[in-house]
Amino acid sequence: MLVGVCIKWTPGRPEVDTSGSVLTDDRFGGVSLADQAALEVALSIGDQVKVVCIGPEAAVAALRDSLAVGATAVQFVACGAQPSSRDVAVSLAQHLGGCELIVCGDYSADRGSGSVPAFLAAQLGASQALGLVAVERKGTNLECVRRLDGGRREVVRVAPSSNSPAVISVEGSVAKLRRASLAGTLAARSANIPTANAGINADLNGEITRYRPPTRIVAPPKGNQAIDRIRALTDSTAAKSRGELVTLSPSEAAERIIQAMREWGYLTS
Amino acid sequence: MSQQQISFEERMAHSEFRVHERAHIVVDGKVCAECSTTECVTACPANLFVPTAAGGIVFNYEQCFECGTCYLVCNKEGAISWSYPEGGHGIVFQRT
Amino acid sequence: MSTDFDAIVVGAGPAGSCAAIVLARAGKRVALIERGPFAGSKNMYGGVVYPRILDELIPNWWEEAPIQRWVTRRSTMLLTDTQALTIDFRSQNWGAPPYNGATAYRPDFDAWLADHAVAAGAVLVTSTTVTGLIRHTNGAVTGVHTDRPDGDLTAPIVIACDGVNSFLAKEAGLYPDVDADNYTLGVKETISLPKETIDERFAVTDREGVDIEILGGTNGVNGGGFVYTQLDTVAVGVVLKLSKLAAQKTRPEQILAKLKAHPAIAPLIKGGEIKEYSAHVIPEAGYEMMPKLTADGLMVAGDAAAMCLAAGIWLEGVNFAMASGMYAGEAAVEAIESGNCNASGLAGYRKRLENTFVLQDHKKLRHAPHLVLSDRVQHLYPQMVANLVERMFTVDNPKPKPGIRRILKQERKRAGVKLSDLARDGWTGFRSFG
Repeated sequence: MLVGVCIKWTPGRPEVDTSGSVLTDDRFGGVSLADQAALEVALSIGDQVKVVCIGPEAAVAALRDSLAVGATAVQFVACGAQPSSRDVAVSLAQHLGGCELIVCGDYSADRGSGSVPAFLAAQLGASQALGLVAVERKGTNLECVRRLDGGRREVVRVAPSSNSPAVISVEGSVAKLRRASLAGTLAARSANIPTANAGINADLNGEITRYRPPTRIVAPPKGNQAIDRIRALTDSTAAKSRGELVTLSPSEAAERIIQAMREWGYLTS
Repeated sequence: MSQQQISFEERMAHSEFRVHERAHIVVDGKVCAECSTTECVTACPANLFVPTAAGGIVFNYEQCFECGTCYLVCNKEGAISWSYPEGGHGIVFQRT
Repeated sequence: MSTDFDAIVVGAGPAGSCAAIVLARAGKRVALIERGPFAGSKNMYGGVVYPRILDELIPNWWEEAPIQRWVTRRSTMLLTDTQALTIDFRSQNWGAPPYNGATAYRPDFDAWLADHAVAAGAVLVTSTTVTGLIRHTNGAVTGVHTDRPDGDLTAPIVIACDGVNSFLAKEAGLYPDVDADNYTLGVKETISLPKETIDERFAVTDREGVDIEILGGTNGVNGGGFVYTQLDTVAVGVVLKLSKLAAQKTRPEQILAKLKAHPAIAPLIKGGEIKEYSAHVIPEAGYEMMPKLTADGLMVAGDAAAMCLAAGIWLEGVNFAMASGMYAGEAAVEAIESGNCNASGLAGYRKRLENTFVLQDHKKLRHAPHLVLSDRVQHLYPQMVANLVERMFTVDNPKPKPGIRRILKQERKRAGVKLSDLARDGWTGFRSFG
């Protein structure tokens, strides 16, 4: 089975200088533990493993490290901009043809949104199981455990095949990346790293603004005593919950969630 | 905050340590229990050695500068075994 | 016998990279093995490098080396709790090619040197710790074990540039014994300040820098201190004799904090923010502690061979490391070409060291480290000299000015310095430094 792995390299030791710009140091850069776990999962499942990385030139180091631990192919996609998750997914998908399974890390080292795997699944028309805490191979299938809210777990069976690929993303605790052999390390030093251009020049679509929760209008609290008014404002038992329980088909549920987010002011378009 | 008042934690927080799961310092508790001079406790620049009420030494290895002071000052043969952490791990200096 | 490489250099510090540059340029297959994630990542020092030895290897090195500032002001400072006596020298000649001393961060400088080794054709392997020597049944070193899976590497010559703790030199039995008295601990803080503030406080401009060496100010622990300027940081540190530090029960960072609070130092770093705290051990005793430099198939260079020169007014190490590495590389090329990699075939290494500043300086200054770190030089003389100067320049009219000879005599007695000791130390100093 050909397994694809997507990793994200990020520079290290960010510092804000006196002018307010962020300085980073490539020597301290690397990939997240989750991405490392993804590579290890791929190496333990796949006969062949192809690692794809989009990023600045320094990210090539991460691909050499991947070759050193046993990746059979790598692809570097040069991109100087700060692309959106969707643009990244579109670009990654072009290099993952033939992969039955694609393993990603659940988070990047720079606290990204972790949304690339979902966009990638959409782009490839693949099934997805994201945010996994365990992956076990059962024959041709994978038995995965997914983290849910409130300490609950969900067991997901993933059945990848050549005409129906799957995208999974794993947390860092799922596997510890093996140490590269000396021979692997030596060979990777001088290996040719295929390079493509992402053709993404645009930074994140739209304007980047500081996140602010939407304003809520609160009526003046009732009560003669100050303590009563404070209670009225702060007592959680008195607060009205905005939640509602609905039972709908997945597509209807998604529509309803988007509608609710619009009503509550989290989405403006 | 004036320079002298920074806590030891604050001092160490500016260094990058890529901690390996296996300790590269090993201390023989039996030898340390007999030790009254505890040179390592004073001299280790990373303050990794802490005396316990029971008279022993608790040690950490995670924030080690890998300088070698501990085994050099320790005059108890074999009390501190020290080697380098696995390649790629441990202290990574930036402006030194 | 076919081997993986012609030579293996352990440690990509200044010694290792220079050895690798020489070997690679001579067309030899050389591996340069570094345990840190990049060359220089494990390295820290007092702060000034004297790179003239690079003239040969990297002509016009000053045009490309990652230098922070060129030292154009050098101060030697004597501190007591309340006094400071400074001899300050400035030369604009040191601010133009070929320069003299320079401040640089080791993670930058060492990585730059290692890049030259790679450009010359050396195979740099990072994040790989050498765990031991591979030896032939006759005892000759034939390679190294590393901590990577299938990590053995073979070569007829191994050059150990693995730093002050050199486990390889010890494993090969080149160090007779390890005595804490021969080592000092250096701790320093890198403190950030705006460049303009540093320029103003240290009276320098552009890329000019200052190097302040301090005797005293180490809370009674034998050693010394230093202040160096980088572009937008100041390094302040202390060097402490290990045996005295352990006995004194004051922790290194407390001693450093006290130096930083000294009225002569505090204004220099006021308002600065700590960027990094670091520590490293220094092979202080120089020539007196040097190991055997060669064995069959093995050479030792740099700090691993205790080639750090800590002689009070001269504090150098990186230049000795670069030179010893370079000469080890040359000797290795010679040995490989002659087919004799035994100690006899590597004899060119010691010969080169003896014919150059490396061992000549060390031999000449062999007694200096112990003199500088001796109790009298550390605890009695600074107070005596500071008091002498204070009395010379104190105007306490209506008393007339006292004669300097009389003050000297009085202050010598007050400090408890015997004339015979003063004469002996003076003679040792004169023989070493004269």
